[in-house]
Amino acid sequence: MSEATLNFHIQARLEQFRVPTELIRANFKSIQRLIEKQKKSMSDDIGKIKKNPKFPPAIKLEMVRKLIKGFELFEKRLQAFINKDEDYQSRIEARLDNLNEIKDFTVFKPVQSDPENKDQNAEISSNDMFLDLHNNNLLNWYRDQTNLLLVDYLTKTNTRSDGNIGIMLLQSLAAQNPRLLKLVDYDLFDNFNKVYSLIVRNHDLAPIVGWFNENRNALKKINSNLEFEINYCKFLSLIENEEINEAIKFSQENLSLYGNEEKYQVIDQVNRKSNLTKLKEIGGLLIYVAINGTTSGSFLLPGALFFSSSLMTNTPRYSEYRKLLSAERWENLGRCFIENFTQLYGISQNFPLFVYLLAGMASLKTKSCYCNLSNSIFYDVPKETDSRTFDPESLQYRGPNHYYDLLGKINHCPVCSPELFQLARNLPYAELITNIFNNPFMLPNGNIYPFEKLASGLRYGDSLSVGLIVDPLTNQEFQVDQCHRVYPA
Amino acid sequence: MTSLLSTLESEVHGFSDSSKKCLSGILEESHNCLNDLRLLEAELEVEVANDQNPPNDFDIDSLAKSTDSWYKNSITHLKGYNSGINKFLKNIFNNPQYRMELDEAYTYPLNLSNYPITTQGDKSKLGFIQRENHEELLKAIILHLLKIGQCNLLNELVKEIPSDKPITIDQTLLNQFNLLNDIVNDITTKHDLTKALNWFKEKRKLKPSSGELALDIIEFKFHMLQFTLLLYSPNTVNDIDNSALSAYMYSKENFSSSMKSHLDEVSALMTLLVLRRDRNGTQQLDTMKNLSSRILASLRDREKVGQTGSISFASEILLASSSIHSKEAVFTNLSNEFISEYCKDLNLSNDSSLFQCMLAGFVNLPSFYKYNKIQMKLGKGLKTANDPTVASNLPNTNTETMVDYVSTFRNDLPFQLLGASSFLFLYHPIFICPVSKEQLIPLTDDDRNSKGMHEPNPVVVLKFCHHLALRESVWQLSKRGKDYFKCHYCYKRHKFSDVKEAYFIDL
Repeated sequence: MSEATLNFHIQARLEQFRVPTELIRANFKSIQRLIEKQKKSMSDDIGKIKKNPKFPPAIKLEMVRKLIKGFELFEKRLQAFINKDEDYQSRIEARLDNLNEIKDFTVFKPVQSDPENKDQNAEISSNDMFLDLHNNNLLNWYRDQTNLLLVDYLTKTNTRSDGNIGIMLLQSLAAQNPRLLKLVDYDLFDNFNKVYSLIVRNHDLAPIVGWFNENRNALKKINSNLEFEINYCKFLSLIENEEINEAIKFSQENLSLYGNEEKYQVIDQVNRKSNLTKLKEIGGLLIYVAINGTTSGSFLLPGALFFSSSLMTNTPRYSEYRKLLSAERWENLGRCFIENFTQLYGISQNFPLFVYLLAGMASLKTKSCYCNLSNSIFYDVPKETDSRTFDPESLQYRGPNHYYDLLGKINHCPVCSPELFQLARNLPYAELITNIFNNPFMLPNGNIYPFEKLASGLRYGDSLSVGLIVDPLTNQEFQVDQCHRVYPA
Repeated sequence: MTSLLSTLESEVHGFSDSSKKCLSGILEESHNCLNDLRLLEAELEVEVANDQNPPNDFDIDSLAKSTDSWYKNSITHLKGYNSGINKFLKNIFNNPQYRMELDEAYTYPLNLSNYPITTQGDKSKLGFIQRENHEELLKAIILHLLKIGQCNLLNELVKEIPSDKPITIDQTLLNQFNLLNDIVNDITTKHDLTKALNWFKEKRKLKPSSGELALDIIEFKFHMLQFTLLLYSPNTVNDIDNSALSAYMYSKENFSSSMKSHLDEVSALMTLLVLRRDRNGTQQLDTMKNLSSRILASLRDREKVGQTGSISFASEILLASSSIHSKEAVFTNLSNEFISEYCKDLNLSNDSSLFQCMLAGFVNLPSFYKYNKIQMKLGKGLKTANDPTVASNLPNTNTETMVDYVSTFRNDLPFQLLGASSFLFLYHPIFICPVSKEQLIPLTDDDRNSKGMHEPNPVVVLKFCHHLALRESVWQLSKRGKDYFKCHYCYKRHKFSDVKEAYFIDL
C-alpha cells in the first residue's frame, strides 16, 4: 500500500510539536495577565502618590519602596514564566533535531506520486524520501522512539500514588541518553495522570476544578462540557451523602443554568441534549434517596417504607438511580476529562503505543504463529521429550510449536511470544507472499528442510556411510536419491 | 517546492527567534522600569536625608511616564510574540500538508483500555479482558526493558501488574539480566568491553569442542574494537609506544585463530599500528579512507560466505580510528548485537518482541492509515473519536460481542503490505497456495485447532513435477479425486493419489 517516508514520519509526530506549542500559548497568556495585573497595581499606587502631592518625602519613599518590592516580585514571576517558555521552546527544537536525524537515514529514490490521489499531496510527495531500513542507526532511532512511547504510555496510565512509573523509566533511560528528557512532555502527562487518578480513585474534585479554571477559555473554544460534568458529579456526591438541602441549593445555582439554550453554542446541541436528559432525572433522585434513606431519617417520606417494598426496588428506573450514584460517575467524569485534555492539546485519543503496536502486530501475525511459551520469562515450560524417543511417524511433532524445541532452535517471531500472542488474538492475519527458505528439500517422510542444512549434517555425521541423509527431527536415515528438491512457486 | 521538514525547520527557528526577541525585550523593559524606580528611590532617600521642603513633584510624573512606557513596550513585545505563535500555528498545525490523525490509523482497536486501568473498574467481560491484556502488555514491557538492559525498574513495574497471582521471576535469570545490564552499560557509556569479552571467554569454556574453531563474527568484532580501543586508549595518549605494544600483544593473543577467515580485516587493522600519529594522536584521514575502501572492496567475495558484517564493521572502525570514542553509534550497534547473542544464550528470541512489533508498526503504519482513509471516504471507516456522534451512535452490543473475539483463520488484513521491509521480519516459512491464494496453516495442536476453527489443509507435493499446492486446492482441481488434473504450474498430469503431504521445517 503505502511506505514509510520521511514526510509520513513528520506528520505522525506533529503532536510532539503541538503540545509544547499549547503550553507556550498558555504560558504566554499567563505573562500577559501578569503584566496587566502589575500595570494595574502600579497605576493605582502611582495614582495615590499623585493625588497627595503634599505627602512628606519619607512617606513617598515608603510608597516607592513598596512599588519596588512589588515590581521585584513581578520580575521574579516574569523570569519564571520566561524560563518555562525557554524550556518549551527547547523541547520543540530538540524534537526538530530528532526528526532531522532521520533525514540522514533516507535513500534517494523518488517517491512515486499516487495516481489515484492527485490532490495537493502530489507536490509534497514529489520531494518526499524513503527511509533506509538497512541502516542500523535508523533502527536505533526507532528503539529510542519505542522507549519514548513506553514512557508516554506508562506516565499516562500510572497507578501508583508515590511517584510516576513512566517518569522513573524516563529518568533511568535518560541516564544514558539525556536528550530523551526533551522529547516527551512527561510533566504535563504526569499532571494529567494525577488529576485523573484523584477523580477516579480518591473521588477528589479539587484538582479537576483547578485544571478547568486554568484552561477555562481554551475549553470554551472546544465546546467542552466539563463544567457541567463536574457540577453534576458534585451534586450526585451531595445526594449520596444525603446532604439534600445543599444538593438542592447547589443544583439551583449551578445546574439549572444548563437547561437554558443560551448556555450552549449553536453547534453544540449534543451536549445540550445529554445534559437536559440528565437534568430531567435529578428530581427523581431525591425520591430515590428518600426511599433508600435509612441513616439520617430526616428526609424520610411518610410511607417510604411502604414504597421501598421489593416491587419498587426492582423497577429498572430504581436500578438506574442506583447506577447514577455508584462509582461509575467518577469514571465518567474521568473520561470526560481525558477527552477534553486530549482535544485541548491535540493528542491522539488512543495511546500512540497502541496505534503502532496494532499496526506492527497485524502486519507480523501469520497463520504459522503459535503461543510460544519458551520465549518469555514468566512461564515454566516443561521441556519437550527428546526427539529420539518419540514416534517418527507421528504428525504432531512437525508443527512449529514442537519442532523448534525439539531441534533446539529459537523462534524469533515476536507475535509468537506469549504476551503479544494474547494481545494479537483479535487482530486479522497479515496478507503475505510465499517466503520459503532457499533450496527446500523433501525427505521421504514428507519433511522439507533447507538443503544446505541437511548437507552440513551429512558432512559432520561421521558414522554415516556416504549417500545417507538423517532427518534432524526424527533421526530417520534416508538415501539421498530418495530425497528431492521441491518447488513452492 | 520545499519539503515538510525544511518548512518545519524554518518555522521552528522563526518561532524560537520571536520567543527570544520578545521575551528578552519584555525582561529588558522590566529591568529598565525597575532601574527607574530605584533611581527614584535614591532621589527620595537624598531628599529625606536633606529634609528638603517643599518637595518637588516632578519625579512622580517621570515615574508615571516610565511605567507607561514599560507597559506600552511590553505590550508591543507581547503582540510580537503572539503573532509569532499564531504564525507557527497557522503554518504548521493548520496546514493541511501536515495533517494526520494518529487515531485514524487505529484500524483494528486492540482489546486494551484507553483509560488508566483501575482494579475495581469495569465488571463487564470487556473490562475483564482489557485488564488481562493490560497485564500481558506490562509483561511484554518488562521483558523489553530486561532485554535492553534496563533492570533497575523491574520490581517497580511488577508492582504495576494488578494481579491476584503475583508474578515471580526466577532469581538466577534475573541475575543474568543484571549482568547483561552491566555489560551493556559498560559498552555504551564507559566504552569498556572487558565484561563482554569475559562473557565470551566463559562461554567458550563451556563448549570445549569448539575451542580452536574460528570465532563467531560477533566475538571477532569485539576483539577488533578492543584492539582499537587499546591502541587509542586515552590513558596512553602521551605514551604511544606503550599503547601500540599493548594493542600488538592483544592482537597476537586474539587474532591468531581468526587469521584464516578474517585476514583482510586483521591486516588492515594491524596497519594502524605502524601508521604515524601526530601530536594529538590523530592520523591522516586519507590513509584511513584508503584502507577502509580497500577492505570494502573485498566485500563482494565475502558476501557468499556470509561474513559481510565483520568487514563493514572493520571499515567503520578504520574510518573512526583515533576518534573511536566519539562514535557512539559503533558502541550502541555492537551492544545491540551483544544483547541478541546474550538472549540467544538464554533461549530467548534475539530481540525484544515488543520492539520488533513496534518497528513493524513504524514501518507499516502508512498502509493502515491509507486503508482507513479510503474506507472513510467510502463511508465505512472507523470514525474518529472526536466526532461527537460516535459515542451516541455506537451500539453497546457491538463492543460487547467483539471483546472475546479470537480471530478466525478467515480474518485476513484486507490489504497487502509492501515487501520492501519484509527482510526485517522473516520469522516463519510462509507458503501461499498458488491456486487458492490461501496461506498454509501448519500443524499446531493449540486451541485454535482443537476448537475446530479450521479443517487441516496441508501442503502437498505433486509426484512428477515436485510443485507444491495446498491439498484442498488439488482436491478441487481433481474434481474431488475423480479425475486427472494438470499441475497449476507446468501442466503435468496427476491423479489425486499422486500427491503427498509435506511439512516445512525451518532449520
